[in-house]
Amino acid sequence: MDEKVVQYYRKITREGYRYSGSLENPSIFIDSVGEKIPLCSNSVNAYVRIYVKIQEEIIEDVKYLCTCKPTANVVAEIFCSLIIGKSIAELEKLNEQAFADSLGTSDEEYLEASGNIIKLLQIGLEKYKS
Amino acid sequence: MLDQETIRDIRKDFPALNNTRNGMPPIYFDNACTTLTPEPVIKSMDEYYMDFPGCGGRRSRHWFADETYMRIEGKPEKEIKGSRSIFKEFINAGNESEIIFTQNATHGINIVALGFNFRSGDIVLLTDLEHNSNLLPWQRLRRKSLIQLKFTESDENGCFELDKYKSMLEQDKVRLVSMAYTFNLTGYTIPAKEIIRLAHQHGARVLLDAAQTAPYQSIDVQDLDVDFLVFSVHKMCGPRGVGILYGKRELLGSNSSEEEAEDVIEPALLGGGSVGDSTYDSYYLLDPPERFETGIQNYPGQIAAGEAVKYIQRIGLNHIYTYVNSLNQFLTDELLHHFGHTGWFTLFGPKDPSMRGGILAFDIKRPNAPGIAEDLSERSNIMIRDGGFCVHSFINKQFGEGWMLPSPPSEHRMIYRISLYFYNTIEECEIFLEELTNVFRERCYI
Ligand SMILES: Cc1ncc(COP(=O)(O)O)c(C=O)c1O
Repeated sequence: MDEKVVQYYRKITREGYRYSGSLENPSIFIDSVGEKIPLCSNSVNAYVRIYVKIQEEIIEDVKYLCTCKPTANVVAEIFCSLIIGKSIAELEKLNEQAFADSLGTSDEEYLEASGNIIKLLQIGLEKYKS
Repeated sequence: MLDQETIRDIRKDFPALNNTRNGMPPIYFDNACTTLTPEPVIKSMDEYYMDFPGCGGRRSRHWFADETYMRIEGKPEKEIKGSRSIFKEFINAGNESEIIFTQNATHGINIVALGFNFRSGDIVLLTDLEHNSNLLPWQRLRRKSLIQLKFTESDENGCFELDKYKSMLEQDKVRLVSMAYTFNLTGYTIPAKEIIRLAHQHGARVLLDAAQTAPYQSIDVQDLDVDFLVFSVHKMCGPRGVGILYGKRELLGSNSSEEEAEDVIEPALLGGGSVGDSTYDSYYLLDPPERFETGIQNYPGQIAAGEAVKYIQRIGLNHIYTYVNSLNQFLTDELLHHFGHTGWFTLFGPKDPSMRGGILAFDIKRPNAPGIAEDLSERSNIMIRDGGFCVHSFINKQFGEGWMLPSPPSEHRMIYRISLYFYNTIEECEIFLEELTNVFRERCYI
């Protein structure tokens, strides 16, 4: 695992998961659960739920629930920190570079997970706008 | 006890152990789910498909059918023992007709559940640690208001409480006791002989689910005096899709119906192969085992199943148990020594590994606890199992329903199970411990 990612993961486990949790009546709700109903043959693997509250075109609050690898957990935290307070227009422009800049690493696994969360966001945004 | 050199030789029989990924050989610790398959077993299936892929039973009169039939039913004049006879000896049944080929343990339990002559309100008694395969078939009957279900409660170590069981038998008129002989979550083996004796004393029949027993421990159905017993051959080096249902001869029915005992089971499935003759109005069934083996059977599987028994008998069940348990001892000691005090690492079942055969399951209650099995598989080719282990009922009661659903990190938890077999090695255990420790470190648990 990338050193920067590990460091960040250590920080959030020590200081608390800043954005972990859920929101009532979110404007955008992204639900990506490997197996929502746990089957006996496999674990839930990884899941992520993202709750975004939008007020007058601005991201007022964001929370997530996930169990994943440390890397994906870090990505979820960074994602929240990147979008809170931003406008929808800015949200649409969110790309992997922002994740790389934020943590100061271009680690492959980290960027792949970033790409995945961006894709999830885009699906959520489409739904929100329609 | 199996020595290192013997294990090294045995490992050569398992082609899957050579299937490296990223340069690493597989470390297969998911044997309670299903075991790897040795070459003699694979070859016997190949041989069937390549050389004589005929119908078994007594359907066809040609030499492909004869070859198939001979391998399953034997040919005394040629001194060839068939698979059925091999299984008869394997569990010391009194008669070959008591050995019914099924698809797996699940199938066997369902045959008994659907075929048993229940009267409305009958009580079926299970333990609190049953696999779904020995729970759902009974829940369905309860849903139809045919039976009532009761459960014995294990003590805090996951052990069977004979006294409580005894008082349950005294309190209620139990018709059937259906229990896992060995639990798939904890590896604990119940005191079956005493359980059966008490059940019979109180007029109840007993079905044992020996899915996790047969691979490691010798079973003597006559000594146990058990009424029905099931297991799956894929958990003991055999092919997938073959199981055994043993039933006492007098409980399997016969054509001369006047000798039938009260608790005779009817075949749950009917059709070709189980019937002697039929008209538009009626039919008569063959004697057991045929009446329970309807439709074209898994002949290559049944042949290979016999080979699997021969294979593990060559190694010796006692040797297997002792060896596998010694690995478990090592892993248990190490894991408890390093993580037992943390508060987030909890072993399931008895702490004493000698009571858990080849199974070791633990609960990790830390952020991002799920996903460790995938991690171990990806990074080190180590295969262990996680999830609910088909014992959802028990775990939901312990952890609360929905424990696997999205939750904050402080509530994350996951159960992992290591299950060993005779081709596993101490070196594999060491690598596992090292890699698990690395994963814990990466996740900041330690
Ligand atoms: C105790 C127990 N019973 C029943 C079963 C079901 O076995 P199968 O899926 O082969 O029918 C299992 C399988 O894991 C088991 O462990």
